[in-house]
Amino acid sequence: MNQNDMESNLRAVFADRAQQAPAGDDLAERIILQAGSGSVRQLRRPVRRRNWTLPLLAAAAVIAVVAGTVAVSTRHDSTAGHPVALLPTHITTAPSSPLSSATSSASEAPAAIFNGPEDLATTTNSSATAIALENFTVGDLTFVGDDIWALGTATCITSGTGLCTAFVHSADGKSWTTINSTPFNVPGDTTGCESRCVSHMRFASTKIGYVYGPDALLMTLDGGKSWQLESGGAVALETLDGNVIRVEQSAGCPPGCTFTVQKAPIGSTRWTTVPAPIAPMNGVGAQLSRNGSDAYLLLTANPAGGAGSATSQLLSSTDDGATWTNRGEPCPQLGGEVDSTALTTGGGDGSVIVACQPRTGGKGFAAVSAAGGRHFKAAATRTTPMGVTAVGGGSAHDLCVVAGQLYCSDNGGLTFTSTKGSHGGPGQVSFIGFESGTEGRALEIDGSAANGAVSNLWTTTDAGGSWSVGSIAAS
Amino acid sequence: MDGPNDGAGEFAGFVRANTPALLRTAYLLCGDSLSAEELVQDTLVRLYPKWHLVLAAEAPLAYVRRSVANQFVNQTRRPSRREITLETLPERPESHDPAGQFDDREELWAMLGSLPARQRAALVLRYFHDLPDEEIGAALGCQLGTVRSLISRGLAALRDRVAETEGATVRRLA
Repeated sequence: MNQNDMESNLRAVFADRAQQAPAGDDLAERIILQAGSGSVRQLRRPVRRRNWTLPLLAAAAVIAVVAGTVAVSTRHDSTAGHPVALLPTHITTAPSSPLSSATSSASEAPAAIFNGPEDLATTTNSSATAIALENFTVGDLTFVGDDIWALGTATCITSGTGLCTAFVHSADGKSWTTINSTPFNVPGDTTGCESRCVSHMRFASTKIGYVYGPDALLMTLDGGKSWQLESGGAVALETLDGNVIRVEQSAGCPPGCTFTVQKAPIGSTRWTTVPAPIAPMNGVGAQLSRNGSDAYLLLTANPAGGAGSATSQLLSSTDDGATWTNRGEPCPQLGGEVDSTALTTGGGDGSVIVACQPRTGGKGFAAVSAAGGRHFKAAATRTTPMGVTAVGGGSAHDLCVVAGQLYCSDNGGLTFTSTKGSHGGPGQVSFIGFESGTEGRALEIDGSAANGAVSNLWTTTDAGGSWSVGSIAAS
Repeated sequence: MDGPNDGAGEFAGFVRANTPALLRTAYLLCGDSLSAEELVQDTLVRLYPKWHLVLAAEAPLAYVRRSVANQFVNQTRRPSRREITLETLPERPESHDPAGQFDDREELWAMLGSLPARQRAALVLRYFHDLPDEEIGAALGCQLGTVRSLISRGLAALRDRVAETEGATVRRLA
């Protein structure tokens, strides 16, 4: 069948089928009734896209708060059924060929299968038990539809003291279960984080997910029950459209990192290094955001200056990370050096939003591109609070920034309003992300509770206008 | 943020007048009535707090239709393949189908369900609504090149699947 025939058939099929669509008489009244009542149903279908990132600066800030309470210790909890800090005794790593740095080369890197007491390949999750964690400080979150996973530290349950790596899951955002005996550690874990240290994660589906740090990358194919160690690590990783893109940094940095971009099919260990549009790809940090087939990589410069006139670079891709184009510094340079500090893509309209900070200090501003990152326009000058570490946006029109607290704008960044106070929104926020044009999440670490920190997950369904809250696995 | 309840009357009027048209789009996207109703309902209820934006649009119905398509792409996780399970051969209708198009169109409709959400949405917007690529890109939040790629890949995938079934036995067991 040639293209003309196919197009004709498609038109005929659509025309025929459209006549079979429901009439919708009752539906119209239900919609009017529901909208008028002020209730908004939660989507039951899994959300296909997740397009937020947790900037390294914000992540470090969260973990730093936790680390302040950790005493260095060789103790570890090892009771099954509870969050544990893993102290690996033996790891068998299958011989692996180093990932080739040649252009578009591919190499099969066999995953490491763990032996010994922590046999990760055969580790099975004990039956899910709703459990309340004390002092749970979340470092990262990942969402697939209604499913949420959270990674962080909490008071070790068996001993009642110290902090252990905690990895929890919820299918509805209300009841949480721990996933036991995770073979990785997070910064802040009492037993340390020298081995398999991860600080972020992303799940591509309810089964396939990744946890990663600069020197470690692990993948699960069964929802977190067992994990495979992969070669290298990642400082940024995003899954979408059937593939996963990761950004690796050179050893021994920062400062002065050189980054490499790789991609692989979801669930595969076959990573391909993609051609770099600039050589070398240098910076102090990397942030990745995806929207459909588009991907954006922000290489942040040294905000303290130095290294000459180091500037941020925005790289964009329209083919799921296979090829990249350098867009240069995205922030308009308003008579002086302005650095990009955070990046996201609009959940609803795919616009690219960056937070811009003048190097000489003072307030920053948000800049938006509706043209795939080719041109950015500052919404206004000097309107965002100082020290923006993250941005999230439903669209170019509705966007939020994190500067300690959360501030949201419904006029494209011309003005920002704090979500705290009379709006009853989140306060100190370390994470912001939008799944669509209207639905977004914010993570707040509340350290005021008597029994330690509580991680609160705030949800908006009207692009930041109002927020509802639920605690994550809290006691 | 703006109050959500301005234009409640306009909202109700719009919904009553345009739900059938939106359902047709949603039905072609989702492939079944229940999902289509859910999609339209979710989209309109989510737009209600921002209804002033819809009213301010040059073509409110087109604006909402784009939102439906965008919502579909955002919320749908498609199965990698939708099998047709038949225990007996379908009876050919008595009326003439000289080009054998009845079975082809049924097959084509089933194959559409196996496409990734964005490809399916692009095909619906192009071949049912005859939208230009710019508007398809605005609806799906992607660039022109991506729109063309989605349509090209979608058509190619359908042609490949048609080619696979041509000459194969029609009967598939559950």
